Parts: sequence; C-alpha cells; structure tokens
Amino acid sequence: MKLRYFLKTLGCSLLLAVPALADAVSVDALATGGATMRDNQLREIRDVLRGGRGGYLDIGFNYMPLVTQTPLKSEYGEHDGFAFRHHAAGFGAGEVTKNNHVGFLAWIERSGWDGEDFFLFPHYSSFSAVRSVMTWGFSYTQSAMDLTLAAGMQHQNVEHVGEIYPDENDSLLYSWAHLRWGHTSVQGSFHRTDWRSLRISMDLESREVYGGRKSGPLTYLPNFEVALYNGGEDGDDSVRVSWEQNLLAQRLYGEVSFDFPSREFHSAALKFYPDASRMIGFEATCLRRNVRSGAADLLWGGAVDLLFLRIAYNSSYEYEHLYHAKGTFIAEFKFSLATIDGFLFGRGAPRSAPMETMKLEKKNKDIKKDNNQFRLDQSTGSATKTLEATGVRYEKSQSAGGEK
Amino acid sequence: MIFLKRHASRMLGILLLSCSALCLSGCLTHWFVEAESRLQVENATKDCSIVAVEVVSLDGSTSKSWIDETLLPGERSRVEEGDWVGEFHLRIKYTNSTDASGEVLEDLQTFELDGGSLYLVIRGNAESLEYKFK
Repeated sequence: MKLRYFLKTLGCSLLLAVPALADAVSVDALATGGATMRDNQLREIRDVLRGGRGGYLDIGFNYMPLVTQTPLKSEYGEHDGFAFRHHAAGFGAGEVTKNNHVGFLAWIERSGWDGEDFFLFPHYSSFSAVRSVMTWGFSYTQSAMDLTLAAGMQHQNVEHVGEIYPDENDSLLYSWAHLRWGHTSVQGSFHRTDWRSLRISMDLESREVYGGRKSGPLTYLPNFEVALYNGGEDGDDSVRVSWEQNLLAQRLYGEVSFDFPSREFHSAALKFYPDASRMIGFEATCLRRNVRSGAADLLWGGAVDLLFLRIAYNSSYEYEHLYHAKGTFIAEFKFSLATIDGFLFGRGAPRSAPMETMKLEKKNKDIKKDNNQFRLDQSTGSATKTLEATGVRYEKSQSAGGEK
Repeated sequence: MIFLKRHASRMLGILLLSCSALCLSGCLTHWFVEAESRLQVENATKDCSIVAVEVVSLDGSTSKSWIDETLLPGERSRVEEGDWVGEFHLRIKYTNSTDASGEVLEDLQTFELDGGSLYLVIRGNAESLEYKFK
C-alpha cells in the first residue's frame, strides 16, 4: 500500500514539474558525446567482465514526452526537441574445454539530439546531432587462474551533425583491450598507434557471485578505479580517480571521484539497493558541473531504478550521459540483467537474486509427491488409482481361455 | 528450444512491454508536435516596406536569413520553411517608405515559435512595429 501511494505521488509530481522546470542541453556536451559514449561502454564492459564468463543483456531508451524537457541551447536561442539515447548490449561466454571460456560481446548506442522523437528515423534538422558507437570484441577466460583477456574494436559513426557543431570525422575506428587477473583489471583504448584512455581497476570487494564471501570484513574492501584520458594535441592529459565503498551489507554504497591534475572534486553518490542483486536501486548524487559559480556549481539529484524503468531528476548519470540534461524528470525504459551459472543479478552486483533457488526446491518437491501417488506395485494403493486399459484386458482373457 | 518453451510467457511479457513502450514514444507525438516552422509574413503597415526577416544569434554576431523578400505595404511573402522551433531573436529589416527606398531600419524581437504554419502580421508604423500571429 505504501509503495502504491509513493508511486502515485511520484507520478503526480512528475506531471506537475515536467513542463515548468527544464534546462537546455548544450552544444558542447553534444560535440563531445562520442568520447563519453565510448568511455561509458568500456566501463560497462569492465563491470561485466569481472567474472569473465556467463552472460549479460541490456536494452534501453530514454523517454521524454515533451519537447520542452530537453531543449537545445545554441547561439541562436533555445530549440525545442529531444535529447535521445538508445542502447543495447550483449555478452555471452561458453566453456569450450574445462575452465576455458570463450565469449563474444557487443555494445551499441545511438544518441544525440533531434527536433523530433523517433525510434529509427530522425528528422535530421539543421541543429540535430545523431551519433552511434558500437563496441565489439572477443573474450577468453581461464577460470582456474581467474584470468580474462578481451579485445576488440570500437566504431564511432556520425550520421548527421548540424552546422552549429564543430567539425568531426564521420567515421572513427578505435581498438580496445582488457586484461583482468583476479580483482585487478587494466583496460586500454587506442586510435591507430595513439592511446586514448587507460583504466586501471582494483575491485577488492569480495563478491559472492564470483565465488567470494557473502558477508564479513572482506566484503567491505574498497573498489578503486583510476582512469587516464589523453587530452590530445592541445589539451593536457587528465586523470579521474573513483572510490566505491560498501557501507552496509552490500546494500548501501558510497561513491566519490576526484579529477587530477586539477585536484578537484568531481562527483559523489550514495546508492541503496534493497537487495544486493542490484535489480532495484535508489541513488542520491552530487556532481560538480565546472560552471564556476559557487553553490550552483554543484548539481544535487537522485534516481529510482526499478529494473524495467528508471526515473531520474538531476542525477549525475543522466547529466553526464544525456548531454547535461537537468531540471526535468527523465524516464528510461530499460532492461538489464547479468547471469553466471544460472544465477541472475544486475550489472556490478555482488550477489545474485535470491528467488531462483527457492523455485527449484519447490519444483523438486512436487515431482516427488507425484511419484508416490502413481506407484502401481503398492498394495496399499486405493482402488480408484488403478490403471485401466480395456483392450489389453480383452486380449488377456482370450488367451487364457485357449489354454484351458 | 526447451529454454524458449519454459520462458515463453515471460518473453511474451517483455515483448508486450517493449511494444507498449514503442507506442509511447516516436511517431505518436508527431500528431501534435511539429519540428519545422512554415512562416508567412504579411505587411499590414500603411507606410513601411519590409526588406527581410532574419534569425539573429544571441550575441548578435551572426544571423540566418529566413524571409528574403521585399514586401511593400499590403503584400504577403511566400511561405518559407525553417528549422526554427523554440525561442529565438528575429530581426525585421524595414524602410520608412512605400517603395523600399531609403535607410534600412531594424527591429529586434524575441519570438516563441511553436512550429507548424505561422502567419505573422506586421502592423504599426516606422516608430513601432506591432506583431501578431494569426
């Protein structure tokens, strides 16, 4: 009952708040969207390859009903339209010989801004930007040594950019490689012979889903990530250091990240998962927007993630991945699930969903009961449960008569 | 195949959900949302000629021509299509004469354009032009 009232209140406030408060997405954020998409896909691949085996499925798209929710701020004014993001991902690995797993993975995302909302065919106006990124690759895992090797390519294609955006190569090809040994992984992205990014992760937390502990002090070990980004010819290289920490029974997590060499706070988040399988989550986030205006520099927001639906308001994930969209409720229809040895869990979760094993137990019990009821040789069986087959009985009686 | 059979109902559910999601977005909004503006301007002044209508950038440094036609008093322009839906500065260039001669004056106005067919009637005199969408 309480949940129903909560959802109703959420729905009403969403309807009321949507048209009134919405801030425009920026041309700059759209121009650098390709790099953000590529980095995000590699980060998700890092999460999924923590076990190196099993499978993963993800599909989703943002839904904003009104043109005023994510308008575009250009030099000419504010254009009504939609920031959009469609994504799908899949990973599957099979055991080829004992302890040797070979897998294939593909991540696809199409996003940008367009004057109309659409599924397949955008309007392509003078101010649209439609871009897609695909990451694919093969993985090999030696599960006895807890070692994963993966590598592949990344394609970044620009379908359409309006004249207000800076010039961009319409087709870029990157390569990537991922190496994981135990709790440590290194990931690199390259353009020809030039490195673009390097991510070093130390996921020290013990996760039951990958054969670790269910509880205890080992589950409270921190997860560190150090990501280096190539600043290009004119810019300086930058580093982002992130720290994820289990705060309470793998249900409450704290996250904080800092940027170097500027030594500045980047973002922080408090995430609560009612179940450690991370299918449902609640998060409160804070992000530095780098607009340099005192208190307005920090963006406070939150999101509710309900397996099939995510609703966010000023959340740092949406701000960073949907071209600085803020000031409005953003819905995302989605479905995302990872699996390992038949157990299901959300991406990055330390434990699997509990319902799977209960179901199996119940099924087995039913089968046992059925077997007892239909045992024919039991003398105690009641008369109503005998099998009748009239044809056979007729034949038997005839042959018996012949013998006499 | 066994997997498919066992999870048929669940998969059907997911399929139905994604179908209903499909209906929510995309083409449906095109029934009532337009991504283009089709502008026609009528010069309803008595003693001014409209020389051009332009969209000007917020800092005033660049502009894009929209109606590139001289409209004498009482004339109407052709319908011009543009990707202008939202809030923009429009610059109306006009002269204080009935034959488009003399000094070109400018008037800068902010308009909220909702898209679709827009019929802009310009009234008033050289001191102050009045704008009304019909």
